[in-house]
Amino acid sequence: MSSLCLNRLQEERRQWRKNHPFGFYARPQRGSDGIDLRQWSCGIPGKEKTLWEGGLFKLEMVFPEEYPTKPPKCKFVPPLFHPNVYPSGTVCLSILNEDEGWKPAITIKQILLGIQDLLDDPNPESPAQAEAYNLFKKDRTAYDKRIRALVKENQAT
Amino acid sequence: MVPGITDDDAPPPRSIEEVEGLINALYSPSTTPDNVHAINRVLQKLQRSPEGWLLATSLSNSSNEHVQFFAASTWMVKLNTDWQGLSEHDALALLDTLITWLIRVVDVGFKPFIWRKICVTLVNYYIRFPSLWTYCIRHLICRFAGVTSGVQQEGLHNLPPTSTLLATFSNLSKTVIVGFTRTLIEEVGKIESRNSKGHKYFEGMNLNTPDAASVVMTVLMEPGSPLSQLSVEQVTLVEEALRCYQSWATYSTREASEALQVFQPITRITFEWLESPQIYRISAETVTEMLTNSFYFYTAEDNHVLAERISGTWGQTKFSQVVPKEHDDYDSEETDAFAHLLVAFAESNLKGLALSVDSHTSTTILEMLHGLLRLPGYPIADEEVSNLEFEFWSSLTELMTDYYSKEDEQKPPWWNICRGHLLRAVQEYWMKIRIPPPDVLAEWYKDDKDGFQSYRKDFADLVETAYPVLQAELFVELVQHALNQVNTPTPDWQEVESCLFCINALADCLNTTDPQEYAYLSALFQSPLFSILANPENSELSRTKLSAISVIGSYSEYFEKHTELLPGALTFLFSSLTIPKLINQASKSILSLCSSCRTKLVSELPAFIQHYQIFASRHPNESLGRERVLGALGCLIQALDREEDKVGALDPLLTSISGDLFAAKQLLSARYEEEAKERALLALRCLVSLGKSLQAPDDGPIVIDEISGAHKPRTIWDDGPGHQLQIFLAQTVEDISGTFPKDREVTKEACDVFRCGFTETSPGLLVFPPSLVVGFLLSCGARSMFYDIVIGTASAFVNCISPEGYDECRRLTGYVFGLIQSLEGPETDPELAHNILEYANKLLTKHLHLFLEVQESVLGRVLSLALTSLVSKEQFPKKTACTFWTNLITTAGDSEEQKMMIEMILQQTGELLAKNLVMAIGGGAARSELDNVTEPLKKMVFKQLHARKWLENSMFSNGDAFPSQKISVEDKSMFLKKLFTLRGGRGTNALVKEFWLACRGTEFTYAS
Repeated sequence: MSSLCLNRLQEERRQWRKNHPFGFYARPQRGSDGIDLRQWSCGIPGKEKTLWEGGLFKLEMVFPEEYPTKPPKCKFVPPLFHPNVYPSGTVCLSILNEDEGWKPAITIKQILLGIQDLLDDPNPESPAQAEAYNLFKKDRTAYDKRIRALVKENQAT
Repeated sequence: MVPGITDDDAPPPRSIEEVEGLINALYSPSTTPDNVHAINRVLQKLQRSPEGWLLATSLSNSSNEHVQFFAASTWMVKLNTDWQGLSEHDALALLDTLITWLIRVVDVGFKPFIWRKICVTLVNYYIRFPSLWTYCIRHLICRFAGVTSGVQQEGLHNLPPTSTLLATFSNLSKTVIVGFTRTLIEEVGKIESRNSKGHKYFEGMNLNTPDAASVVMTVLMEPGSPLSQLSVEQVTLVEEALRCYQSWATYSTREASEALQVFQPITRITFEWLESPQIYRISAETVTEMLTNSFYFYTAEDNHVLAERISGTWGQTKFSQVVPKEHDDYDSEETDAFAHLLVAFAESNLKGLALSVDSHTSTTILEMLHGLLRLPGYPIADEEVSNLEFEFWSSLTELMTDYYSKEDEQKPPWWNICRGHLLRAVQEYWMKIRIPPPDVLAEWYKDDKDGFQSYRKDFADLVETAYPVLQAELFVELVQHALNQVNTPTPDWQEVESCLFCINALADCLNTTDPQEYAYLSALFQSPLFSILANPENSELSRTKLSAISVIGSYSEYFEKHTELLPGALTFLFSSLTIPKLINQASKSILSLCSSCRTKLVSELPAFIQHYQIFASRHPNESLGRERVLGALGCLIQALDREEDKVGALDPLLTSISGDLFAAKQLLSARYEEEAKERALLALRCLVSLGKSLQAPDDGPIVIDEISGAHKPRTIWDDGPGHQLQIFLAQTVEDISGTFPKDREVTKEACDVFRCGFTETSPGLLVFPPSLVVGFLLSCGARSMFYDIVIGTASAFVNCISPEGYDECRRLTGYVFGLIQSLEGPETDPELAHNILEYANKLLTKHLHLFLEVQESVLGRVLSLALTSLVSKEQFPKKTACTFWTNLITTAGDSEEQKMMIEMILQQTGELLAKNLVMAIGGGAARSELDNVTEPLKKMVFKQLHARKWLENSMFSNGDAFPSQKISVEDKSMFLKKLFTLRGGRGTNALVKEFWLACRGTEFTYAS
């Protein structure tokens, strides 16, 4: 791993441990030969006073060799029912796109908070999965109900 | 006109008195918000007007503080907006006015907010006119001392030194000078220095550095001993000086300026101030900030001195004052200040502390850190200090594992001592995570509760991080503590809970193959723990039960190896299903155990089915719990050897689910529509969960497929009791679906029941004959408009069918492609268009002959839809169409006949396909669609002889074929040349993106 990438990830980890928002978690994964700093397991809680409140959604963050020049890939595991999440689980968000809003100064905390915001505030301009997108557009009651069931299945304990 | 100020505002005031009246009204508590708004607009208009300069000068003579404040704010506005309009002469006059005014304000003794505002204005002046006020600090001091007048700055160095002049000042004047010096560096520090404009400020600060240092040094040295009793003014002054030091030091580390050397000698003096009881908090804050954010400013010697001070008499006395033994007698602010300082020091000097861990200094500091962890009270609600230390202990662990990661390596003494400290810290934290008794919890606010949960999770993280260092010793201890409690007549269940919580956190840390920890786990699981917890009389233990339930789920691998303990664990889990709060976690753990230990548990199946039936009858509406338990039972049924036994076990479960359907119908006839639907949905979800768990596990034996066409042996699923059960199930689903024909969710779940069997290779309950599946889909399609669900399921079905299903597939294809007639184009119903194209894709790639035998006119409609979707505004049909064309161009065909048919299709559609692709890459597509559109283009270029001709025609034809006027014929030719040179290779995507950008106009870029 390049030293720039490694140093930055170590610093991100330190900063996260020192101060992270309630209900979230983010930590590098443990492999057979120790910690893999380029692969993080994260948990995003649904925001208070939204349909998503009470849920905790698991996400994997994979950092490319060129991080922080290039953004990490964020993927819900299992894939999440959401208009801006691809069927593979990958999150479609401007700040995670190298050609769009990504900046090397964006921290892991900001990314996770950004994705938390996206949960209740989908962007209909860049749909990533047909199912959630169509339901969101056509039948909001059914969509909301789906979200409530999703939250129940993924309760934060 | 200035935005926000409209002409209908009140007329502007005509005299200074009127302005003063307005300012007074602005700050008067009796003015209504609407009036405040209106007055503000009038005043802002005045401030921005050309007369603003004069207005400020007049107002500054007032004796009213509000008016003075407004005067300063007016100058700020003018300096920000009109500074370029000032001649050098006027600018110097302004400087004189501002300084004279400041001196007067200080002399008269106006409130601090006035002089602070004037200092900010002066700094703003410096930023606008740095060359007119080069030695601003020195000049201001000389003006205050009265040794110079006006704005003349030559010869300042001949005047008495700064320290001499400052000695004659009042405390207030000194505070003003320090305040200006601090504001100066804070504001200038905000300016980007890495360009030519910023560089002059960097130089300017270097010139002012000696004066700034002299000011800070003089003030901090002056009171003599930090132990002297200070007046209120002196306290303010020293505090201001410490903050000023911090701002200059931070600037110097960031900008590598001259202040680095000049301010460094002051560091030790700031340490001295820790001793002053009056200044302690601010000085501790300054040192903490420096350690945290500007650590490199401190020299090794500084750190050494600080370590001596913390571990010496001062630190030890302070520690004993701020870390009390009893809960009620500590000042949390005093404690927090010390804790922040200590933790910041320990973090920034981590390596030194660890490597010399047996020294007096390190020992004392580590003991203090332990002491803070023993602070009385619950974390977050009562104390925030222990929370601070997580990072330190985690970093220490990492340092230790970085040095010696191999288990058998000989560890140096420091490593072992540090390990001892780490173990102690974990033990101390472990006391902290005990769940408070209900009466304490009842008094907590939500933030306290959330914070406490979060604290426990952070601790779990620490335990996980520390485990490679602490290893089994920690595990043994946790188990031992829990066992000791369980074996006493009146166990401390909070302690047991905290042990279980930690054991749970360690589940992923153990070696994968038979770790030694399993032996200790056995001791715990063999104890009466589960039987005590399973006792319904112990209902108050729900929190401990919850942790025990999680532990069982987390250690399912352990139970695979220790099957003798499975029944006890599962009895406990099933007993927990009686407590509503525990159903979620208990059903999760039941599913986890039954899934991993399925073969070991088959003998328990009848008993579990009984448990389920009781549970379902008591909590009929507990959807998730019932789904999971049914899933668990499905795993055991899947593991049965004999198909007859499977049928026998499934029968009562299906009967129970059909009971739900019956209940749903009863509710419906009683007009409880919503409840009825929920019950029906629950039944379907239970079936889906059961169906998924009946699927052969991924690691199961691989069944070698019989040779195609060979006769398969018939099973009871073909024409025995299994088949009867299948028909019963299909009818049940059809019945539910038909009862709620217009309900989207019901349709989806019903289709999902059928989906469960699609990928299975061996016969089973949900592996329906194709005729049943297609029959159901067609009746669903006839009933509802939920094409995405019905066609989506059809696509999944087509993906998996075997030759016996071809006839049914033809029926399905006829239905799906027949729907195109209802579409005028993809925009009419993008969802339908997308789903039809998905289906076409599946058919094309999986069963080419079925695709090619579609009636010509129908196929024509499919191709036409795929073509128009390429230029549609709808993203999903467009992307699917791209995949369709990519597949069609690359499909090889199994026979000469198939190859010919494909080639014919491509010759007929090629021209139009090329045209539509050119439309897209010529600017018609969105940026996010470019990669999709490029795929078929690449294949076309690589595989199609006529590709060049088609693309040229589209590119150079007049009319609507090309969407952009922004590029020339030469650009287009060059693009085509490059495109064909690349032959569909990797660089094509970048080339297309470049071309698309040019067509859109280069000004089109994402806003950053």
